[in-house]
Amino acid sequence: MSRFLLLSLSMIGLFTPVNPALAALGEPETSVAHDREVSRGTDTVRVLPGGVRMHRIVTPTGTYREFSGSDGIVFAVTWQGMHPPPLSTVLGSYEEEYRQAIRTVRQGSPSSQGRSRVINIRSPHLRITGMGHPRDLRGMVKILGKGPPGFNPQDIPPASP
Amino acid sequence: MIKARLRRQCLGWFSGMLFLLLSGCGGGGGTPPSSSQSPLGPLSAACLTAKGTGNSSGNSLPLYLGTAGDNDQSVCGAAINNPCTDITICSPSGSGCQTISNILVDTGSSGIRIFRSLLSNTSLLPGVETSSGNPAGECAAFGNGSYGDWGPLVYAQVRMSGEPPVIVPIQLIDPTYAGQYDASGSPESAACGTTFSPDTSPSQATFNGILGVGLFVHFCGNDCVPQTNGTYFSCSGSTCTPSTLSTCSQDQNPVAQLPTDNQGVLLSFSPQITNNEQSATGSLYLGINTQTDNTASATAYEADSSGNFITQFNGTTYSTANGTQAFIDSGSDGYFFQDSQIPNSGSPDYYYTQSATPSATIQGVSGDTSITVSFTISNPPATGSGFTDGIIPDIGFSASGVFDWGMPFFFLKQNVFVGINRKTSSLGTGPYWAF
Repeated sequence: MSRFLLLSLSMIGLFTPVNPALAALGEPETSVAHDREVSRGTDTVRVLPGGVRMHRIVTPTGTYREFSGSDGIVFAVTWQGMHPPPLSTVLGSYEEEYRQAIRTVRQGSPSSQGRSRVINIRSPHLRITGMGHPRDLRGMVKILGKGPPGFNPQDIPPASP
Repeated sequence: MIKARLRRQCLGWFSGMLFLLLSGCGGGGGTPPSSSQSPLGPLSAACLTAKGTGNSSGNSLPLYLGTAGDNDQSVCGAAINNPCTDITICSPSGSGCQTISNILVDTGSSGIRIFRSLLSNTSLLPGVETSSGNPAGECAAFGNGSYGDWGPLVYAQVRMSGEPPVIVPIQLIDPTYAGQYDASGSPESAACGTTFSPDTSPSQATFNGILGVGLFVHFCGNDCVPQTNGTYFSCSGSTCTPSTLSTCSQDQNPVAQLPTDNQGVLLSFSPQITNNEQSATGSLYLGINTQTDNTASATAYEADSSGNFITQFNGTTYSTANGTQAFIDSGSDGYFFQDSQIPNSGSPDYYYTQSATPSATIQGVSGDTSITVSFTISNPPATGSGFTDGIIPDIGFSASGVFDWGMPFFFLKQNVFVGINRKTSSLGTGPYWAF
């Protein structure tokens, strides 16, 4: 791919307006392209055993991956870097549930709120995990009951497709 | 010597600021960010860091856990395995000093951050400015990146124990800075994102501030210099836009600026803590093998540029190369690892509820050194609202994709060194952990 084309694509991403109605988690896989544009990242796709499709998107803030099942719906998102991807876009209709879950844990009883680098939350519809230190933060959000049985996105090694 | 040097620097700084104020350029052209907190000093005209000079008259800080020392029961004393100390914050010229207690000692991050509401001298602390001339705000994310600290960067003189003072940028924790969040942490403009949950008070955060004495000099480092990555912001009025920030202007590990004791730190607990307790004490020694109290008789295990080393456990290798993580961290309150054979409490805490004695092998990233570590897990005493002891040395939590050797590891090994990146001691050149 030429430098000009790369530059053009990045400029398209830079100026594509954010449309909150388009979101990834729980939405058709086609929304991933929008997420890539919003985050100004590059996207590669890999098909995993069981038919799970994994988009790996590299952005200035880190790397994140979106997983969709045989129904074409994105059921999980993982990230790695100094900051998460733009979650208000990536989480879609689950944004408020996610925000409340994090807030509840952080504002909870101090002795059990997890002062640590690791969080592990099960909200009504989501499994939320995270770990790390400021230079290497990791996170995952997965819709409960979606995806192949026993499939854990965090078990997928980071190799490029 | 340090006084004369600081006086010269501050004279120059004040002269520069006087010029800028008289010429109407003191605010860098932008509208000062709004906040419900007391005002900050004027913007600094230039990077204003100063290494300490002179001799150390003391390199030891106390570590208080639970109800020990001056720990506040509703702050550091409210969380388990929460090592805290005191530091003194002054203006760059050395005036208006305040000693703040309940400062979490965190080997998992670098830099100082303190709740702005606790400081009465903020008008003496000049703000750090970005290349655009606006005040710099920082989004310091922890955990999975969805919580942490938001607030401005300012220059301060930092005094630790009997060490010569250093001038470094520090972060003032203030969710309302530039109107990004309200006082309860609900998003307004939300520089760190609408899903970010900022620390709002010492009792909520269980610390008055953080003393980050981790593996690296800077909180972000070169990753924040050529491009923005969501850590630093240029703020004008209630508008904050992502910004690059030179390493000189970033919040940074103050230990690295000390004249002699700058190689890293030693966390020491003697006698060994083996039982659940309400209080316990230890020591944070600055420097490695530079004084009689930080002599190094240990093996170093190198970390990589991401701040991880290697841990092998139950057939899984945890490392950056495998897409997983392994690290030592005083900012974690337990061991965090995955062992499906040990039952856990389930949501929300997932702490292991059955006694076990796992073993794992730690290896430096160069592969030159390795050691097998056996440790103990026990069912912690808990009530409906939380744990009943302030110090629980055998607590473990279920977590996948990571092997986090948290605070219990420091109790187990008693003496753990943290070697700063590119600093050389008798143990080697950082980044490394040694024990």
